[in-house]
Amino acid sequence: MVCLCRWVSPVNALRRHRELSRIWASDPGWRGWFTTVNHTDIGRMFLAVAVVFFFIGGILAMLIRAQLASPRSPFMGPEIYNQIFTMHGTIMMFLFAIPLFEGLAVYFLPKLLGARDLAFPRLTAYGFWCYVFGGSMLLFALLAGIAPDSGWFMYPPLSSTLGSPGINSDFWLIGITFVEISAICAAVEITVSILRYRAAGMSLSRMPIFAWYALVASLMILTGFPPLILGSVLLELERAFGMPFFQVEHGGDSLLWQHLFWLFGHPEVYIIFLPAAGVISTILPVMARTTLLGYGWVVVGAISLGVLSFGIWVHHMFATGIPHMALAFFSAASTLVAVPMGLQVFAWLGTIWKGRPQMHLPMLWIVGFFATFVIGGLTGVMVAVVPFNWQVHDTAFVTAHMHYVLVGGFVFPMLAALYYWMPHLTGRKRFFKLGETAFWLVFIGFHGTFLLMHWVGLLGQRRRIDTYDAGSGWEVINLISSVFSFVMAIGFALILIDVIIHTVIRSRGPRNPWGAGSLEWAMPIPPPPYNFASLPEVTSRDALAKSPGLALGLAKGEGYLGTPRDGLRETLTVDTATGQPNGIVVFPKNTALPIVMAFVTGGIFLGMLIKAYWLVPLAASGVVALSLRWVWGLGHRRDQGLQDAGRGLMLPFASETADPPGWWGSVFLLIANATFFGCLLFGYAFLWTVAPNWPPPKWAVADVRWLGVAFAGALIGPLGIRWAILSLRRDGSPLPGLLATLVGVVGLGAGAATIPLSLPDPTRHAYDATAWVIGGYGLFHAALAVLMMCFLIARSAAGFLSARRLGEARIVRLWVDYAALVTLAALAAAFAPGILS
Amino acid sequence: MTDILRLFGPLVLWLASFSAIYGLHGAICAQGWDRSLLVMAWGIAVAVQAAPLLLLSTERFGARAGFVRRASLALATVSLVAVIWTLAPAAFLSACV
Amino acid sequence: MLLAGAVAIFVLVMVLLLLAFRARGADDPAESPATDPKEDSRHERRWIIGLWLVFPFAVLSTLLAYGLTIGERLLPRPVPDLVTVEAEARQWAWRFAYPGLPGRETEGVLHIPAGRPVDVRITTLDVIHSFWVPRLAGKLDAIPGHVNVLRLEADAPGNYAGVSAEFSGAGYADHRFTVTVHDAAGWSAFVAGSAP
Repeated sequence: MVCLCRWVSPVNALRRHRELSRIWASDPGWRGWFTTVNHTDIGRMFLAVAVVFFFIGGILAMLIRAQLASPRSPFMGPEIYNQIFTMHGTIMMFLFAIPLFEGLAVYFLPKLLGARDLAFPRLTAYGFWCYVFGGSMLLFALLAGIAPDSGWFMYPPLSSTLGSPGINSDFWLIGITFVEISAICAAVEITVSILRYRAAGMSLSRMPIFAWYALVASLMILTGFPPLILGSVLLELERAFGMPFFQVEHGGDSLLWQHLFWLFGHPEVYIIFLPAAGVISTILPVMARTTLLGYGWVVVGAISLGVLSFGIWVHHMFATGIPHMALAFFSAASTLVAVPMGLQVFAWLGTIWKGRPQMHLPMLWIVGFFATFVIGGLTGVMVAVVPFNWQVHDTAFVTAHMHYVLVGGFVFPMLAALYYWMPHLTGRKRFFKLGETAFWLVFIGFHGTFLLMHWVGLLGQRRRIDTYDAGSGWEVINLISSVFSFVMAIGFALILIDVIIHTVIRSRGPRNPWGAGSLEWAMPIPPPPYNFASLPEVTSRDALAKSPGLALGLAKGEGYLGTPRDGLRETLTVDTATGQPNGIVVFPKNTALPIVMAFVTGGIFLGMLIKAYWLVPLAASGVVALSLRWVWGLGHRRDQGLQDAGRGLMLPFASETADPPGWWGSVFLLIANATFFGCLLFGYAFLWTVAPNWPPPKWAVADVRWLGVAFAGALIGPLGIRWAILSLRRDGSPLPGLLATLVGVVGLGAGAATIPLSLPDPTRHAYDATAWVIGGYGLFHAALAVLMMCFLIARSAAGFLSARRLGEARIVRLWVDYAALVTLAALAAAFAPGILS
Repeated sequence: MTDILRLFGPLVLWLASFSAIYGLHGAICAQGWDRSLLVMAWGIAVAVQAAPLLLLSTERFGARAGFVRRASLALATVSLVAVIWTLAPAAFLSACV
Repeated sequence: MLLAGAVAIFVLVMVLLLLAFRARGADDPAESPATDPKEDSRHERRWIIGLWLVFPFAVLSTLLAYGLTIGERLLPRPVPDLVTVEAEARQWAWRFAYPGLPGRETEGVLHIPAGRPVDVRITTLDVIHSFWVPRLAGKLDAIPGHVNVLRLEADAPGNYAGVSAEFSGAGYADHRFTVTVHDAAGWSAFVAGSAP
């Protein structure tokens, strides 16, 4: 038989499948769980753990409703109740919603984008294990009865030593920061994967719409989570060492926490909503058998929502006594956000209008989403109106609004996603029709629980009270709420049973059950570990709809990289804008390194938690050693030159391009890092202008000689690394340049160290404490740069650098430049007031 | 990367002006400076925000691909509206109570 | 008013959603999906420019202007005939003082006159609390080291229930106080020190 296609690889489909499966498979048996770095495995594990946390959080919610069902209920006292509602919020926000998005993105993005894995497979695994270990810390606290109890928003002084002298708050601050490592890792990973790891020909305008939402959400995680991490670090430093960032009598201010927390907390709501909107924009057109209306507009809307949502954080602080004009700025911004939000809703409605909607189960959930989310959005606009906010703030009205937004806007779309993609995960079709019954139970249960809660809030019932008096007029409403909440719980239990039956009963489903047009269906289901036997070339947004035979062609090896090479795990990188292929990535194999490193990282956090401070440096050096081991295995000692990518295309390995994936990862990690530092400087300026009890008793006095050393370092470091790269380009020895850089960054470190050295007591005043943190931040980055330089010198000696293999040196250049910048900024911030006055 | 900057840049500029003017408002109330500064700052912010819109519509700085070009211009317009809308209270409301 | 507007918008969206299902429900399901680009741009104009752009902007600007005007009116500007009182929260009690009446302090009960503007200067000794008398005014937080001023005016004499509206730990649910509003005679008696 003659094959018409031009590029036929020498292996046939079955042999290709066998060989690729062998290359990409995780380790056999239980070991595979701990050493896998495959995104399909880790995505599933992420999703499963997030769902476990959802059910734990749900059980806590049921306990809350049981307590509030009757006035003066003897069910539990305030000490227990406070832990339960705090943990309900914490678990749902940090351990369920964000990780569920991460799991969804980790599992689906490469498949939607036409790649074989995410950019940094080991980082995915590391993030996952950090999430598991951090989450376990919080669960342990819950079971031991020493869980955080100051609300999920953790306002000091209540959450600090004054209001919570016990270990409860430490579990929150340390556990959540540990979990946030996974959010940052996943966000870097997702951003780089979307920008670089796509199918050939997939330009920005041909990206699946979910990728746009995931890109915006990930960039928001990178800029939204640093303020929270900073706040947690500062509050933990206050609790552990008495550095008074939030204590007013020593120049701190509890309002600083509220700013940092909501600077994170408001974008967080959109970080949760955007992926859900992405899911709807993906599923809805398929269910309406058409394409999404106004793709370009929807992208514009998603980006606007993402950035605008950073300008609304103060609307959670309308009752804190901030001047009316400042409130008005944020009130205006809050109403403005409704515009892109409305755009989304109308684009979806228009999509249904222009298509032929079919009421499958995923569509049912989407309709449920519409009914619920629109109510939540409208009450949201009401809450943005200042005088109305003053009346309903901190009442059950806001609780109801929030649940309409988060359950309606996130959980319902995720259930649509569950039923839409379950065939993809399992390769089966649904057996019993339990899902429809479950939908009605959850939908009716939800509205029964929360609709009347608006009213009881308007009647004056506050949030977070553990009990109330008979005769307040709230009894009937609360009882109705509680009864319906159990209806909802039964619905969720039914969904769980439905999913279990689905996975257990063997009834094989068709390959593309919904007739969708996106690439994740152009593979066998359940997906093989390598996703695509060869990588597709796309010419439109709905590649599969345009060429229904795509899956078969890819299996036959008609795409790129269809011939396995030396047992390597390979995929393509593309140019961000055009989607032109420009490199071949070789992924690392299965390894226990991520889980071991997550475990050792846990040592740092555990040491802080149980105040075994000797453990902290020990674990930190462990992390350093493991990271060196992690990166040493990358790259080549010899130039490899151009490689055959299939279909007649010759491409270099990504490690031989000027901007390897690690460079892109570093850029986005540095964006998160710079946001952290920016928030630190904001905090400093905030305390200076707003906190009572300023100025401090004494400003730091600069030692001019050390300032000179730091300036020289900031000059020599960045120049030295440039010199080294130039020498490499000219095939000369980079060593003189590298050594000069090393000297420069040591100078930076010495300069940064003068800040804490000139302020002997960080507990004296918030200024001293803040200067210590700023100086410590500079010192940390100088030390990091020193470490990287030593690494680079060793790599150079071992022959890993050449004119073609510049990537590592360019990555280190980013970090050296950053260290120089932040050290100078730190010195200016700490010493300028002393010099000026 | 440049295309990503074209898409996100204008709104990030809005966020920067918005935060800066919020900060300036704090400083004005703390130091007792005149509020006309705020109105001036608002004017400057609006003027500055017009820059990305103009730049992105030129051949030299604008995107070549039709999709990114249209989307970036739409987003630059959104940010111009945002800077006018969100900071308008600077001109109309009482400053420090 | 807010509520009626919200219900109207909700009903509009739901009707659009239902009509979407009716509009094509009867069509032949075998017919190919509508992806004609000209058709698409017509839809885009109608849905996105027509409904989306015009509609929210009109609603939102009205709402914002209304909210800000009311907000301005509630601000504590200097007025004649002003009475100032001090409220100091702690876990879990409120102490009230009267700067016009040196030495006078009440615990758990705030006395104010009816029909006169009152400024409540709110602060706290320990954690964050919030001063809220639902029938008299919105809430305002008590923040360590800061004094926030809430302007309120009670029309009729009587007792008004007040609560703390910021979560403050174990005693939060019962962290309450009362505002006693006096008529002119009662207030004179209170000022003279004869009423409690």
